[in-house]
Amino acid sequence: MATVLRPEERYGLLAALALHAALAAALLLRPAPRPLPLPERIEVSLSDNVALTSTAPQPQAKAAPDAAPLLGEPPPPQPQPVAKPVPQPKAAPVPVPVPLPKPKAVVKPEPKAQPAPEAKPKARPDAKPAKAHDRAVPDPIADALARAKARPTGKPAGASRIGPDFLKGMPGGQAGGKAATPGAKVAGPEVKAALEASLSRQIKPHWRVPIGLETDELVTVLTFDLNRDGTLSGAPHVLTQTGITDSNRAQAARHAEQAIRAVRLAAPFLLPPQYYDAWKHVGRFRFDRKLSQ
Amino acid sequence: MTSPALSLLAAGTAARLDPLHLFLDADLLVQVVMAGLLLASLWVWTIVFSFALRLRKLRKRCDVYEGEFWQARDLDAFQSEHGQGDVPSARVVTAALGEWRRSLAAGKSVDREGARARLASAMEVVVAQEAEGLGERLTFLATVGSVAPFIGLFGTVWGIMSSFFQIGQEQNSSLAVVAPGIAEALAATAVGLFAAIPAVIAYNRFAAAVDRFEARLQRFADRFHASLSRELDGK
Repeated sequence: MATVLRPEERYGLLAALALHAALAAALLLRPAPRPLPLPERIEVSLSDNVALTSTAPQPQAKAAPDAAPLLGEPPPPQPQPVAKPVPQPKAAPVPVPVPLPKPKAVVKPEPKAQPAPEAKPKARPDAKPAKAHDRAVPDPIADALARAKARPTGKPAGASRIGPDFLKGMPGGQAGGKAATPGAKVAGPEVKAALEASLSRQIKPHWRVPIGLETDELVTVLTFDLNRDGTLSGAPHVLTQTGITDSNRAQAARHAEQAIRAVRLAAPFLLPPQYYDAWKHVGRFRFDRKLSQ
Repeated sequence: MTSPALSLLAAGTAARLDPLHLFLDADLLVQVVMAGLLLASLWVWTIVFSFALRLRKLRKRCDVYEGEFWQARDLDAFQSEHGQGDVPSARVVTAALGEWRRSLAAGKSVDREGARARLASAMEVVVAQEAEGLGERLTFLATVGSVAPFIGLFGTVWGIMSSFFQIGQEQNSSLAVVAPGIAEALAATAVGLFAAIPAVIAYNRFAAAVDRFEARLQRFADRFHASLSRELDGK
């Protein structure tokens, strides 16, 4: 190959240089693509707020035996002959429970909506319900408690036309005795669900799945005990661990370790002390990929 | 000039595919590969332009020369007047005339067959030489066309290897960690293809052009050989 450039090759080299430089400049100076607009942030709250009521056993919840024969003349001032299991209590401290149209504000009261709700005419549409709700119930579990208390302890209205002592002494009947519904000794499934959700909300920020092949498949189930102030009592320990495959076997121990660490970091937990019996022993808490998302 | 370029350089992070950052962030070996491929691409385009220019010029000169050649009365005078420049046809004629003179001057009795064969081979040598000189640079195009993708692939493989190694060290396999290294590595293959594709296209076109030019020169040589051998019969 000749080392000396021919005259045409000089022109050619110039042209090639110019073209390459132009291409590089075009790539460099090309305007940056407009970033896609981020979608409006939508906060979604899962079923935590629905399961707020404690369920103590309610004997009266059963409809009274309606089909009894009519005795005597029907009392006229009863507008509703049909039994309603849960009537509206008159002196209920909590208003009709519709304060949860936007569950958003439950997790944290909106700081933006409060300072100047009137300043901006087109404030967020949820500003008002959030405010109303802030006033009403800031804490779902307290709300549950309040509503559990608000449950009628008396007999349901308009149940039957039979005299109140029709089934005297019979179980399930409207005995008309002085016994009120006992306070919730055992937390019902809804309270349990709320507690569990609250627990996982508090653990979630500290939980991270270890890196590695197929670690997403690992599931570690921990059990731990809590003191009344929410601190850990004793060490959490692993109940079971599933999803171990050949490729993630090496990470399984670390998975369990991370799970225990997450619990330690999350303690002390903020849980309603009224339900201490329900959460003093957390029997099965599941750590998996879903919890980290 | 300053504002967009500098702001882009300052903005820096991979908001878009920026070739400069792809180059600067890459591994050293990948950088070397990419730089080599860019130089190859530069030289390929140099050859493309210079070859196109040269071929056009030679064709035009040959057209002019041959047109006048067949009109010429006195070949020696015409040749001394026109045959000096960089004209392949003229060189063929020069070689043939030189051989003619040597054959006729050598002896009293002319060996016609031997003279014809010598004339033919003298012209053929020049034709082949011209075609070779024209196609001299094209071997580089062929080399780049076939090898540049492999060199780029080598850079890519190396870059991906090193970025996987880094991933292993960082204990983090999220896409944000993996992606930039792989993108930089893939840029090497892109540059390789960028150099190779024009080289292959140009090589195919130019090889055909050299063949056509050689055929044309050969035809001219054959015609001239025919007239010379007619002349030889008269001696």
